Amino acid sequence: MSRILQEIESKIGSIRAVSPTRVHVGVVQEVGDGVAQIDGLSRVVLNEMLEFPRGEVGLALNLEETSIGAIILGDYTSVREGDEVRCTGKLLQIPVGLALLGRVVNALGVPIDGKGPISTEESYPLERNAPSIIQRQPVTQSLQTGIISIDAMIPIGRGQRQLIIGDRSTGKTTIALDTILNQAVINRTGTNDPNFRPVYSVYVAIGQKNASIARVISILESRDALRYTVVVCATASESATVQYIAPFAGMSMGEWFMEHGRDALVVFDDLSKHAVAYRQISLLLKRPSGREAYPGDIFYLHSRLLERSARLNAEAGNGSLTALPIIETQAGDVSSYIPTNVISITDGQIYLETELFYQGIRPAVSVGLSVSRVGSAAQAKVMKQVAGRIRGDLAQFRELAAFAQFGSDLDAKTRLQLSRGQRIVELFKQRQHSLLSLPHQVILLWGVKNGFLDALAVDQIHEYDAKLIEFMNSRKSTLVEKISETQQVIDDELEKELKYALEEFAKLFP
Amino acid sequence: MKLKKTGRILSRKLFLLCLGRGKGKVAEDCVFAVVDALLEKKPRQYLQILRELLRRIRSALANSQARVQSAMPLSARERSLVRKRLMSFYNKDLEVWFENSAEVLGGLRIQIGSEVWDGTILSHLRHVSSFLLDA
Repeated sequence: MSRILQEIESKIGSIRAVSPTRVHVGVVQEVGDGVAQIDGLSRVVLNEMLEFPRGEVGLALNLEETSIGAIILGDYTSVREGDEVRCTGKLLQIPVGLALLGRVVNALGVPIDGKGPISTEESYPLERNAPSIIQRQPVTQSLQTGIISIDAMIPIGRGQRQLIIGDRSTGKTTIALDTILNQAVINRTGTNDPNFRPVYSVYVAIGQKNASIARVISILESRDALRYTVVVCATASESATVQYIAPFAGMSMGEWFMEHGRDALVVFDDLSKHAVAYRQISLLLKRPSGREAYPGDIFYLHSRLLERSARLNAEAGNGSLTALPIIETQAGDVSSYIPTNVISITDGQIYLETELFYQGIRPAVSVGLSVSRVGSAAQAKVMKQVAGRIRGDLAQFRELAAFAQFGSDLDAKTRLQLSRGQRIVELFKQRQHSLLSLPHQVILLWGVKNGFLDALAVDQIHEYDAKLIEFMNSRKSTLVEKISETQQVIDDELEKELKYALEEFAKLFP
Repeated sequence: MKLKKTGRILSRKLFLLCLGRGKGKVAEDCVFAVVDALLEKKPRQYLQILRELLRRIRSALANSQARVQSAMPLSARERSLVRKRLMSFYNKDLEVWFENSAEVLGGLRIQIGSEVWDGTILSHLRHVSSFLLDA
């Protein structure tokens, strides 16, 4: 009996009284436009979450000698001078995981699509270190965009950072959206293959109109691509602070897929508006301004964001995170501050020209100014074989076309080059959201390369493409499947089959 | 008008003069001498410098003062116990102020500079309510 009593007494003794909590507090000195100056908070750390009295969340960005500068996420109008602010000891985190797929969330990961709460088990901090050199491997796997001109000339690899740059209304969002749609198409077709690696997409809308975002979501929904996509929204009507954190939130969501051995694609639409939001915050925080009033660390802001996209090696899980940042130029000026910064950070750019767009060449990809530094390493062998010389041919055509304007007396070789170039340009015209699979692209490019389009009039090319694809799908489906499955170089046997098929189609085509 | 870098440096130097000779505590006579000298010489941005100096002194004073809040007035024995514990914990001379605040419901809330020890019933109730709301 005494033993029982002793045990109970020892248990009572082990129960600790509720200890007082130790917190660090500060007082709001001034607040405006989502930025607050706070006195006190002597132990706060950079990027620590702060708690305001009415539940608002802040982020400590400026640590000064006697005060700190913080940004307020969400509604800042209820924060008053003299309010007590508390340190939380936590970094800002957002939910990540598969449960986010098919959902539309704000920059804090809170669902805004009315489909109920998202149950995720994990959350990642907004700011994380980029994967180290040891964890990475070279980019060698292709990420098909479904746009023939890009897949043939400016291939994108899994883990690459490819910038989409151009003036307003030149089709930047369309290219990014088509890439997401194409991943959905590929994901649907590959579900039966156990070795298939789907690509999940994260679309981050920064400083855009609500109507534009609604249009993007409706396109994704109508084409059944939303279930492979997460949409992160920081609209133009939201504060600059929310717009500033949105791409970091999108990147963290993408990183979860990469670190779990999956492939992901993140689109930042667009980083020019992100730079503007960061400039606004920096000026309100009274940070010294530099060129075009941007703060000195604007390059570091974008480089630390984009550096997080990578292709990991087998030991690190073999996942990848591809980034497609978008930059809007003013009057085609690629040499201004933010475009040059992001061009130098990324592994290549797709430059869209207004002039080409209004000439009807859509997507308006400028062959001369667009480049992929990963290049053909990220192309399927079969595509490399058929598209290897296309870029050179097209560049030569542009040069000859300018030269040919001065005289009509041209030799046969030049005339052939000109006519071939015109047909390539026509072939590369593609309607928005009408995507081409890899085997179809290969067949069309093989046809151009081997002169099957030379006999056609330029205005017949579009009809020829559509009918050839229809013909191949209906009558030569085994050949299409063979190209799709192997993705290796076209050998003599396959070449014979292709030649026979295209000759057969030429007899049918009017 | 924003205080310039030179003004900030000057206010920092003046603040160090206000600390006097011992233990990093603000010396009253030094503060008056510094403020008088500043008002007499009126250097550029002297008003902003004075404001910055005031802020630093306020912050330094807050770090050497402990504000103890309780729902009911503490007895003399309790007060001396709290004073003794605080001084031994922080290992420095602290000016301890006792206040009564019915809002805290029970327990003690002690603030030294920006550091707060909150053992009040109010804070525990807040903690419980946030826990229940999250669950």
